[in-house]
Amino acid sequence: MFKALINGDVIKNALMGVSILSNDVKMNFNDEGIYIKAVDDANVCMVSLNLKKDDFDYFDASSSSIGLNIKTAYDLLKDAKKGEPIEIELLEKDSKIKFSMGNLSYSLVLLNIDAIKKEPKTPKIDLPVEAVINGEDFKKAVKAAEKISDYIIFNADNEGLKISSKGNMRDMFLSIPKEELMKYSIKEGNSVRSMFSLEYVSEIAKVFTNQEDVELHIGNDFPILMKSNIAKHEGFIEYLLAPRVEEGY
Amino acid sequence: MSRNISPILVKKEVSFEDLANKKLAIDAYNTLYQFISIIRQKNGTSLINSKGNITSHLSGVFYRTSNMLKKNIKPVYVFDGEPPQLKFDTIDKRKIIREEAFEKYIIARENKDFENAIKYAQMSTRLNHKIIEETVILLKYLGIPSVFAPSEGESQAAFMTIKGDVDIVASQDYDSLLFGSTQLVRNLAVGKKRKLPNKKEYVDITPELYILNEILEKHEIDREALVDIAILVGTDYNEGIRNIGPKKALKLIKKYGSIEKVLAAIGKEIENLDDIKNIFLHPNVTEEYRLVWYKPDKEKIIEFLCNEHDFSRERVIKTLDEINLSKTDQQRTLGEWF
Repeated sequence: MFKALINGDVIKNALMGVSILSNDVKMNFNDEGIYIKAVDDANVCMVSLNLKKDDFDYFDASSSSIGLNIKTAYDLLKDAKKGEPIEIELLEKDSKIKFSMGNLSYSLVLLNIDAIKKEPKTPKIDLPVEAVINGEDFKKAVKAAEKISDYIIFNADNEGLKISSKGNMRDMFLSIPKEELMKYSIKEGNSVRSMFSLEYVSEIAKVFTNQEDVELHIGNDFPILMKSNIAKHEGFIEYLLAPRVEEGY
Repeated sequence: MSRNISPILVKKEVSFEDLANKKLAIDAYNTLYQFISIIRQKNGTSLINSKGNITSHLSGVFYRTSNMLKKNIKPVYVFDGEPPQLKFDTIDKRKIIREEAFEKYIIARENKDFENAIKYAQMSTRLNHKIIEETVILLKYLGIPSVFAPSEGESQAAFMTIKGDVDIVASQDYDSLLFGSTQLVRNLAVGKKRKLPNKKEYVDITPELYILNEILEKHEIDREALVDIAILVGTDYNEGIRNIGPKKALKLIKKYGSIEKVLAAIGKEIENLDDIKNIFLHPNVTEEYRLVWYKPDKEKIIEFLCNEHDFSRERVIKTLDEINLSKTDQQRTLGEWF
């Protein structure tokens, strides 16, 4: 059983955030909220979406899981007006999920859950740097890197966070001293650098909003964890993205 | 181009990523022809530089080749030599069509009928010596090898796959399969949409891969039989038999065993049959080529494209930077950390 009402902008953004990586996903409900975990076909990036009960205007669910084509669901919801509440209801008998906005409603057939790629395990990795950056600054850095090349580098040391992109003929460099970050911690003696494909980071930056801070966990030639709130209370989306590792340096 | 035998071919949709680390022999004339006909301004005129010279081919070659290099694909361009004597009929016909289309293009442009202007401009496309020469220069600066076929570029490219020097032939034309190409890829455009000829509609296109052995195994035939089928349907070297399409031709060849027996059974003849078969089965090709890829020469490319041909410096530099970077790093997967 699942029935809920939520701000349309939140659910649209949440579904988009997953759909940039995966088509068919398993969506899980319980009395605390909903969550989705998926990885892209190339196994380069993992997304976890969590919306908590309090993020909804109304929420009633018992534990269950469904198979959902999230790209299609997102396409249907795109029609909702800005800020319009969307009601989501599981029609268990028909094996469908129903989305209602104003006097418009859509229902979408659920997918066979056995046919969906297994949810990925979360790798246990130790990332020595945590930096919390303003959403607007994060998006600005990504936009700037896009002008230079198709990758972005995150550096962190005792002074703070540096985001850059490098071409043979020009570079881009954004330095944020630790005092200007919302939060900054680095394990003693560490200085880290990892590089990532903008093919992924650009899409992820679109999901993050200007208003919400972005939490970054960075290692040395290691995956990066990027996390941001996307709902009014605790709901968040996080991405774990594998690095591009340079050869011959 | 031979008549369309695609209904009996087996294709797979692939992505650029699937072609990573492959060596690709590109049918240069076929590709340049596409660039010249498709890359145009809104009124149907080709891209031109400040001196009034066409640059559509340079734009196409530069951006498509760069895109391949970014994906770690190794291209080699194969240029046509002297066409076989039997092709002159086709060549003459094409020339007449082009000349008529060019007249219509001029009229449409005068009348500001841009839709028809583009249509006729595309039909009147031709390659000249200058276009070829400039392409070869640009490829040299990009560090990409060019091979000059003694005859048809496609047969040379196919031969290079048979020898194992390249993996796949890239062409819009199916003929390379008849020439024995082990694999053929079509639709290698950078963009994902293509306009339908004579229509206002656009369709999504994805690269298509054809594997010769899969096609032959599916129909339980050999390459000679595939050539027989194509000749029955019609090639650059013969008209084909009226009312025989690829599916019917396949049935007939399987029933009778060879084109000669099919023709005897249906009471038809094909002029120069043995010569046509020979063009496909024993094409005039050369082993004198060297496939070496060099690093792109940035300064020369910028000088050539931006200074001589008025390309956007910013776009060219950005593209060159991207090629360079793709060579030095590798995308890892999360699997390494699980």
